[in-house]
Amino acid sequence: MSELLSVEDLKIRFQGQDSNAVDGVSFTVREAEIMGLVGESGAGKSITGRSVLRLLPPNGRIVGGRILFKGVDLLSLSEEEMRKIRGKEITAIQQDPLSSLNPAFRIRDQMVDILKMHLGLKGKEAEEYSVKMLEEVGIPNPEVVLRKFPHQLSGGMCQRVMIAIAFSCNPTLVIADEPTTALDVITQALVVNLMKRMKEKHRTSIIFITHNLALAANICDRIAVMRLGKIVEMKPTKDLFKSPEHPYTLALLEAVPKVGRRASKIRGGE
Amino acid sequence: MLSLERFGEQLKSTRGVLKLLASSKKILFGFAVLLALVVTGVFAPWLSPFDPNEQTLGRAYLPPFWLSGGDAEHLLGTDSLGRDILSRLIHGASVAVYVSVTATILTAAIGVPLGIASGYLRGRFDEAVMRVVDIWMSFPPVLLAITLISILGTGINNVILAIVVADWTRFTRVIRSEVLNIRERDFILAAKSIGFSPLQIMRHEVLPNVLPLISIIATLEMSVAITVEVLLSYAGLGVKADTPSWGSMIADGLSYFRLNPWGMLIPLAATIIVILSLNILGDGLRERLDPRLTLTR
Repeated sequence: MSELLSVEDLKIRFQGQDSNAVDGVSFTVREAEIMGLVGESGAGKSITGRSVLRLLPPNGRIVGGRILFKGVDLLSLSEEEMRKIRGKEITAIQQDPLSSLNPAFRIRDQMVDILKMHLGLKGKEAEEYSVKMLEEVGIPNPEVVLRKFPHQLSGGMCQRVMIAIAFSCNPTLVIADEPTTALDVITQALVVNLMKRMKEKHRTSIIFITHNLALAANICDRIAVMRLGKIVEMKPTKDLFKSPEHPYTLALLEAVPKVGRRASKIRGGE
Repeated sequence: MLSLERFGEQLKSTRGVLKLLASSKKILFGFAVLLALVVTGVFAPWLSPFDPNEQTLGRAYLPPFWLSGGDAEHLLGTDSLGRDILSRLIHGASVAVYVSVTATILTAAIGVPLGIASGYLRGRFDEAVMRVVDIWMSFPPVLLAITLISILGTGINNVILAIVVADWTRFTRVIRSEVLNIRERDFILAAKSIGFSPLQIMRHEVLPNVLPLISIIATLEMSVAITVEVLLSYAGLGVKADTPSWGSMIADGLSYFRLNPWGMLIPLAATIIVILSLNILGDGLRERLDPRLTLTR
C-alpha cells in the first residue's frame, strides 16, 4: 500500500491568537484506507481536514508544513490548479447534510451541475449517471428523489445524496467531517456501512473526522487521536483499543458509557 | 429558514405562484392592483375612450358621472381645458408603469450583481462599494433626483435615469447583507469543495437564494419610483407637458380645485392606491419570507 496523502508538520493559526490551532500535525493516508481523526471539539481535527482542500475559514492561515498529495505539495499550487483537484481528486462531506445541499435547487440540478463540470456529461447522460449513483448509495426510487428539493428529504436521505455526489466523480480521497453527527443512531450505522462499501468498491481513501471513538473504531483502519492541535497517539484501530498509551486516549475510551455499568465520573483534563 | 426554501420553490412553477397568491390576503390584494395597473398601462391606447390631449373648451370642469351635471360620456369628468380625466388617468398609468418597471429593472441590474459580489468576495472590493453606498445614501434621494433633472432637463427617460442614480443603493445594500449570511452556509463550502469557482458559486449557488428577496425589494422599488415620478411631475420637473402624468394632473387639478375638485382628487387617489398596494404586496411577501414572522402565526 502506497501513501496517497502525507501531511507533514502542519501548523495553522487563527488571526489574533498567539498559539497555533493546529500545531505540528503529521500523518499519512494510504490508498483505500480509512484514517480516523478523533478528538474533542476544538481539537483542530476539522480544520486539519479542511486544510487538505485549502478551504480554511478566512481568518485561518497555514503557517507551516507541507501537504503532499500524490507527491505534489498542495500548498504550492495556485487557486486555479487547486480548484481542479477539488471534487475530482479530493472532495468533502460535511456534517449537516440538510444545509450542505443548496435549498433553491432540486437534487437533479445539483448532481447534474457537478457531472457536467468534472466529467463533461450532459443532459440525459448526466441524469442516467445520477440515477446510477443514487442507486449505488441505496436510495429507493432514485427518479423520484431526483425531482425533490433538499427540504423534502430526511437527514439520512440527504447525507446519502451527499455521499453520492462526493463519490460521483471517482475521487481518490474523501474528507468526511463528522458525516453522521446530525443523524440518529440507526441512520448513522447505515451511512457508516455505506461509506465502507463505497471505499471497497471505488478504492477511495477516506479521512473520517469524528468525536465518537466507538464510531471510529467501527469504520477506521487507523486512528489518530488529536488534542489541543496535536496528534497524541496514532495507531491501527485494533492496537489503539488493545493498548492505548496516552492518558488522553484512555480518558476518551473511559468516557464512552457502557450498558450495564454505572456511569463513572468523567476524568477531566489537567 | 424553511419558509425561504419553500418560497423559492414556489416561484418556480405557475401552480406554486398561484398557491403563493392565495396564501395571503395582502399578497393577493397587492398583486391584483399591480396587475390592473400594468394591464391598464400597457393597453392604454385601446382602453382610453378619448385622446388624452383632445381639448373641448366648451365642456370644461365636468364632474364625474355620478354627480349632478355629470355626463356619461366623460365618466370621471373633464379638466380645465375640457380634456377627459379618465383618458388622462389611463395614459398616466402607462407613464407610471413604464417609469417604475424600467427603473426597477435598471436598479436591480446594477444593485444585484454589485450586492452579490461585494457580499461574497468581501475584502477591499466590498469595502470600496460600501463606502460609496454610504456616501450616496447621505444625500436625500428626492433632492438628488431634482438636482439631476435640473441638469439633464425634463423627459420621461431622464426621470428614470434620475431614479436609478438616486436609488441604486437599495438593492446593493440589502442583497449584500443577505449574501453575507448565505456565504457562511454549508452548501457554499460544499460547492467550494467540489471545485466551483467564485463566479460559478455566485451565479449558481448564491443568486437563486436571493431571488425571493429580489422580488420583495422590486415591489418596494416600484413604489418608490412611482412616488418620485409623481413628485417630479407635480413640480413640473417630470415628463414633458404633453405627456399626461398623475403628478402633473394633480398639479393642474390644484389650480382649478374650486371649480372641479375631482380633477385633483382622482389622480391623487390613484397614486395613493397604487403606492399603498405595492407596499402591502411587499409587506405580504416579506411576511411569507421572514421565518421569524411566519413562526408566530
